[in-house]
This record gives sequence, structure tokens and C-alpha cells, in this order.
Amino acid sequence: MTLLGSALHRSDSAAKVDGSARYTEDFQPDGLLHCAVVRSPLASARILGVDTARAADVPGVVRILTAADLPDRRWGTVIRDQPVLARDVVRFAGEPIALIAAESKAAANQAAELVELRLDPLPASVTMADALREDAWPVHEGQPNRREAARVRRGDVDACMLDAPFVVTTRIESHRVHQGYIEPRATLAEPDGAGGIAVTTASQAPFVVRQGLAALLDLPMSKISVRVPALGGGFGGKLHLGLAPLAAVTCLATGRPVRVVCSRAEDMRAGNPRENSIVELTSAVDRSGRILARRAVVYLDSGAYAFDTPMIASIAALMGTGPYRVDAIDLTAVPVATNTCPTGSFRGPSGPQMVYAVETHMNEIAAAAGLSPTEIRRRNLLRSGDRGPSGELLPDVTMGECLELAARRLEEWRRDEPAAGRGRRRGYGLACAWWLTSGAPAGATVTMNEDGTATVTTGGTEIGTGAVVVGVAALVADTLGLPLERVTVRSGSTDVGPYDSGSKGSRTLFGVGNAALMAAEAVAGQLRDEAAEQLEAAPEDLVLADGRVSVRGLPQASVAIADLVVGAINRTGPVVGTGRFRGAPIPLEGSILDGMRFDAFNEATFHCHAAEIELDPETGRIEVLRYLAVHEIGTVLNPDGARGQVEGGVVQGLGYALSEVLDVGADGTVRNADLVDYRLPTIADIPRQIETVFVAGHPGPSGPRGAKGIGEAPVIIPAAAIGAALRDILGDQPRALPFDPIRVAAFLDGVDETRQP
Amino acid sequence: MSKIIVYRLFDLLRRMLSRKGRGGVLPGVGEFDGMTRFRCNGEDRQVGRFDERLLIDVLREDLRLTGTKLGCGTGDCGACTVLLDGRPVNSCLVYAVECVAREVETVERVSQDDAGRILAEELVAAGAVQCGICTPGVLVMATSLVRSNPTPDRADIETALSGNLCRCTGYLPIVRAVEAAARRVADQREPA
Repeated sequence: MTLLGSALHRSDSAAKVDGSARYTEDFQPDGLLHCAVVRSPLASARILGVDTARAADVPGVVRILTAADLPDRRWGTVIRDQPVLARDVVRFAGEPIALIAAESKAAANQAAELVELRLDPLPASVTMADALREDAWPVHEGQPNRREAARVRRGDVDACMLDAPFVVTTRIESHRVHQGYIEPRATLAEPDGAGGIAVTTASQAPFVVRQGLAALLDLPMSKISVRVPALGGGFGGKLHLGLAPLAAVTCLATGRPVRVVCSRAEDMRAGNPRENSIVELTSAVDRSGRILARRAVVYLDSGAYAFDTPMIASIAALMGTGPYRVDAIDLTAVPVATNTCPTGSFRGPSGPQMVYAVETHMNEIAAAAGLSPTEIRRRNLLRSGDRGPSGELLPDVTMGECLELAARRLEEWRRDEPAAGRGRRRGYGLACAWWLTSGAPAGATVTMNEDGTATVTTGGTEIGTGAVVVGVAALVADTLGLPLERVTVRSGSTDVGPYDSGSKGSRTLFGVGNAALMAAEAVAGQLRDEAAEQLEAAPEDLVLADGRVSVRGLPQASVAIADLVVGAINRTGPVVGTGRFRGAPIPLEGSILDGMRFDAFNEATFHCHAAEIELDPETGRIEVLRYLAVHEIGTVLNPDGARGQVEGGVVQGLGYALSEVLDVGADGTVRNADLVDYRLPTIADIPRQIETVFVAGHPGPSGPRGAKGIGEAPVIIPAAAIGAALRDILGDQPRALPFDPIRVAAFLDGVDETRQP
Repeated sequence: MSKIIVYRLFDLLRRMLSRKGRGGVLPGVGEFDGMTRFRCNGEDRQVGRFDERLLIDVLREDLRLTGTKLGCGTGDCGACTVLLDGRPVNSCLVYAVECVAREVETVERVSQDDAGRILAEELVAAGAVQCGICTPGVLVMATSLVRSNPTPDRADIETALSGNLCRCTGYLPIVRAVEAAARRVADQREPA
């Protein structure tokens, strides 16, 4: 194990730096048609007609499609409820109504502007408050806007509430935010010359796209190939079919290659942003500060179509306790349909708002019980051997270790605090969280080539984290005793490698890594068998290292792996292994689960962040000075990659906390569909210092070489850490996100008023 | 569309003015015939006549220089940064005709030059490349910074790169890479 855990070279970086890496939009097949999408300007309307005559006259326009040209089939991740093109009614501003395929981008865009939509405005349920009213406008006719809830129960919550010395209630409203990947969504669909279609798409889950397209187009899966070239970020925003249905139907209608690319504005109006939400928490607490019972009711704005919000609701319910032991629980999360853009997964789905709500609630419990924020956490933390909310046994809980590390650092910062100048005030806060590592299925093959190099194939996608191109490669190289540069991973295509469930759930290295490890071990066995023959030794006495197989203790008795591969091809057959993985079912005990589509943290990870902030009370501006991120993620295989996930995740989490809001107006339209008014953090907005600490010594039992997931956790905690630091300054913290200067200034006014005599 | 008309009028005016003094020859251009000709990565290139497209589209579609990335189309993300006469511009905000008789350098070229090559190495070494879609723009902008300011401090780096959005790395590795590259470039300039 010299390779794993060391600084690992990332083989795809050079091509990304010099511009030669190819992303979806970089492919330009002959005869390419450009597709523009005509979208609804209204949030809720009946479609009286779509007049395409003038658009069709634009030179270069090849084909125009509306719902009338397509069979009435729906798509969706959990519930199939979304048409490819709006049929009869539109349910959100930005919903596709017509497609224009033209010889040039300019012609397609010009024609799109000439399509006349005759829309009859209908009432709309734009906010969750609108949607949950008794007489609310139903987003889907005949169906309640309040969707099937996910619920976890255990013990007698009501009895605890009645008897408890304290009952504390916290209500948090969180905002809608966009993934903000820099590569807009794009899809290219081409006839494959054999009666099927070949799709090139910016996707985190090519097999999900293939399955969805097969159902929508009524084609066998074997007639559809989906490949993901270099992918310019996703963060959950590219987990769904996205533009693939639009490109595919146009390709089938024209018989030509068709590319659909979202403009930034389209992407922000009609992507699948993180849901805004309302989180209500009530806890019964005893005099020592122990939480006896917790009730959580979470409303998640699902938007006009379900996407994966039913799944996210399950995660939100599971997150209702935070990393604390609560024996009596009633945790409910409800997706709410509204006439807004459908929301969906965004890195750590439901995480930031749930962590913010739970941690704010903990701070309020601390205040009620007269304890410090650190002490209230100490007294309630999950411990090894406890069960999580769904009844999952947690054999190795490291939350306490993470908390103590962060708490110590916070005290050091507080002690060396220099005077904050110009009326500014310093604050120190921390927040705890746990997160999941999904055990979703993965497959991989490892093939040895005659020159001693190895090729790994997998349907897993390299979203940019390095989990596939570095992590999976390193696991295989380590197992086969090869230098890292002799292992190449080919990934992200339904045709190249076996099934994978997608880059999500902090599971790429965990799932694909496990599958690749199994394949590599099969290959190692075949190499040992061949070497045993050539070296006249027992296979179990052979070691694989430095590109050779040698007899343990007899390094001179060795043979190059390349020679073994050639030998095996001639003697027994090519050296190739396959691996498959699916996390084992988690036994659940003691809880009642309803509507839960996701019920276990699988390999749980534990995290604590600490922040030093400076508040300018005049402007409401918060500056983050120093930031510490403590994570226990099992064994760290690729330290640089893991740290990259943490630093990038922290800054994304700070964007969520401090500046980003996807602003949906009263009419249901997005009012800041650009990167000026939607404020992603820039290089000038980040803390001077982000320190990352990985807690060692806790390998994940089912992870590849002890690894657990790290992709999502860093993003879910910063808002809670900053909120705690604000409370440190003000004695209170906002109940609504984000903490942009305007909202913070308004909150400061409120704090001042309550302090007036 | 209206902008292109303004440019055509502007060019017409320039031609008329130049005729007065220089016999119909535009300085540095010669007789302007509406043909979009410019130097790109050291080669003379010619695209359409009265080409109404943006520089980014001409680069990507005609010249197949797809290293220049389209992230927003409104000059806010910096992924399409190229050098125009040595100065960084967002190629999504520049019409191709604006480049007539000028020199365009894209990431494909910039990453091979001295400072650019060093920056490319340092970006890779610092782990500043994750999804990579912002990286070409970052490289071009950072190269421009290091060329003009051999000893940038963190504030200089923040100012120069504040128009280049990165959603993956959290920027710290980019800062580290630019600092390291600037040191190397400065070392090369000063004879030991």
C-alpha cells in the first residue's frame, strides 16, 4: 500500500489545461443541426395553440416539433410525470413547448423567436404557502400539491413532549440555489447508422439517460448508446435526462445529428436547482440538556415535476436528528408541487438546510439548557453502537473526535483574536453533521494488455473529482503492483463498461472502486496462476509489485507482468476480470418507515466545521477569515483529491450561505438567470485559509481499502458554521437563509429592536 | 444584430476617413473588403465575409479551436478568455470582425508559450484542475497576469482572476498555482 494514500498524479489534467480535452459541445459531426428550445414564459397556462408558420420560413430551419408530433409519454426519475414537450398545459416558466432544428445556431434562435405561443394564463401555485392552501391551484389536475411524505418514527414523541422540562422549537426557511456548473447542459444525438441512436451528453449518469430514453422512445436499450465525454461539473444538476429527450426526438425526426445546448439563462430557468424548503423542528429536552424526543416536519419545494424530490424527502427525514442520539422521533418530509422549475439533486441533497436547521436548533437547546454549543453537542452525540433514525446500527461513530478537534481550534483562534478594526466584530462558530455513502450498484472490468498495461472499463462517470481517473486507477494499480501511469480508465459510456448508477451520493470511488477492486483481484489471480506455472511456485507465494510477479522472499525469481499476459494469452486465454458491486442491504431495527425511498447512511461519515468570521454591522457583510474542515471519511486513498473535494465543497457551501439565491418572482419566473445577479463565489470571496483535517484510523468496513465517500459532505455544513459564528457575535442567528448583506442587515435591525428596553 | 450594424458603419467610416489620408488603405489592414482576416495563434486566418458571428463561435466552429469554452455567453464566467493583441478578452463578447488585422491567441497557443507552459504545469501540480471547463480561461488570464506582473501578490491574483468562475476547486489551488508559476517565471527572467 505505497500508492494509496500518497500524492497521485491526475492523468486527465494536462489535456484539460491545454484545451484538448473534449466536452459535449466540442463535438461537431458533419451535417450537425442546432436545436433551439421554445419555452413557456408563463408559470401556469393552457396552450391554445403554437403557430410555427413564420418560424418555418426562416432559411435554414429543417424541422419544428411540438407535443402534437410526439407520442404522449412521460419521463421522470422516481415518478414519470414530465412530458418531453408541454402538452395542453404548461406548469412552469421555462417548460419546453417547441423545438426548432436548423442548420445554424443563429437560424434556430431566430426561428424560436418567431414561434407564436397562444397561452391562456391559468391560476398558479407559485410558493409552497400557495400550494398548501386548502383551495390551492393543483399543479397537476386531480392531484394534491402535498405529495407522498417520507416518514420515520420511533418511540412515543407526544409523551416525551408533555413530560419534558424544556420543549424547544425552531423554524428555518431555506432558499433555492443553482448548481452553477460552468459547462451548461448539452446533448448531441446522432443516428448510429444501425437503426439506433448515439447520444453524447453532459451527464452524471449515462445509464439513467439510456433507460429513460428507451422508455420514452420505445426503443430497446441495445439500440441506444450514451457516452459522457469530459464533463464540466454537475453537482447533481446533470443526474437526470436533461436535454437528452429533446435531442433524441429531434434526431429521430430529422435523421440527422442534433445538438441541444442550454444558454446560461435557460439553464438557470429550467435546470433542477436545490429546493427551497421549510424545516420545523421541536425537541423535548431534559434538565441535563439531553434530547428526549424530536419532531421534524420538512416541506421541500418540488417544483412542477417530481424529479428525485421523493428520494430527497427520504434523506431530509433521515437528517432530522443530525448526528445526535434521539430515542423518540417523528421525522416527516413532504415534497410540495408548485408552478416553478422542478427542483432536484444538488450535491448533498437536502443537506445544507437540514444541517442548518438542526444545528440552529441545537444552539437554541444549548441556550435553553444553559450550556455552551460544544457541550450540548457532547451530551447528545451519536456514539459507536447507537442506531441511526431508521434503526441502522452504527458500529464506528467518530463524531466526538471531529467535534473536539474543531472545538480546540476554535478556542485557539478565539485566544489569538486581534482587534477587529473599523467597528467590525469577530465571531467563532462550529457545526456538526453526518452524511451517507450510497451503496448504489456499479460494475467494472479490468483487462491486461500485452505490454503489461491495464485498461479499466466502467460505466461510472468522471465528473471532475478524480474519483474515477485517479481513485479507481490507483486501486487497480495498487492491487496489480503496477505504476499508476500503466493503468488507464475508460469510463462514462454505456457501450464501454458495465452498468453504473451515476456520479451521485458520494459513491463514485466507493462503488466503482469496489467493483474495480473485485475485477483487479480476479486479474491478479490469473496473473498469479500464470506466474506459478512459469516460476514453478505456488500462487499464494507470489507477490505483485513494480510491474512484476515474484516469489515472496526470492525477488530474483520473478517475471514481468507483460510476459505473463502474453504467456496467458497463448496458454489459457486473455487476462481479464469483471467486478460488480451493490452495497449489502442494511438491517433496520426499531423504527417505523413510511414512504422512505432511501433509508440508510450505509457507510456513514462524520464531519465538523469551524469558522472565524468578521461581521460589519454597518453593511451586514460577513467575511470568513479562517475555516477548518474536519472529516472522517474512512481511509483516504487520494489525499489531494479528497482535499480538493473539501476545499471546493466548503466554498460552494459558503456561496449557499452568503451570496447565492435563485430568485423566483411572484409570477413564478426566475429573476436572476445570469451569473451577475446569481452570485457564485469568485476568487476574491474565499477565506484566506481553509484547513482540511482527515481523522485517521477508521476504515470503512465495506469500502474499497477502507474508503468512504467525501463528495457531498463538505458543502452541507458551512451555512451552519457561519450561523453559529453569527450567534457568537449577536446572541442569536437568522431563521432564514442566506446571510447576504441585505438579509443580515435586516436581521441586525430585528436583534437591536428586541434588545431595546 | 444591431451591434453588427454599428460595426459595419464604423468600418465604413474608417474606410472613408482612411481614404482621405491614405488612399483607401486601412492602417494595418489594407483595403478592407469586409473579409474577416486575423492572425490566430501565429497563423493568418480568414473566415466569412461580413461575418456576423462572435469570436468564440468562429474560433470553435471554423477554426476548431474548442479549448475556448462557452460558459455563459455574457462575459461573466471567463471560460472563453483569449488574448487579443496580448490583452485578455471574453471571446463571447467580441465580434469576429473586431479582430480584423489583430492577433488572437487561444489556450491552445498560450499553454505552449513559456509563461503559459509553466502555468499549465503548476495548475496540474496544485490540483487546480477538476472538471476543467474553467481551466483554459484561467490559464489564459493567469498567463496574461504573470506576463505583465512578474511578482503578483494575492490581491493582484484575486483582481486578475475575479472574472474567472470556478465551481469545483474553491480557488485556493488556483491561487497556489499562480503564485508558484509567477515565482518560476520571475526566476527564469533573472539571470542566476
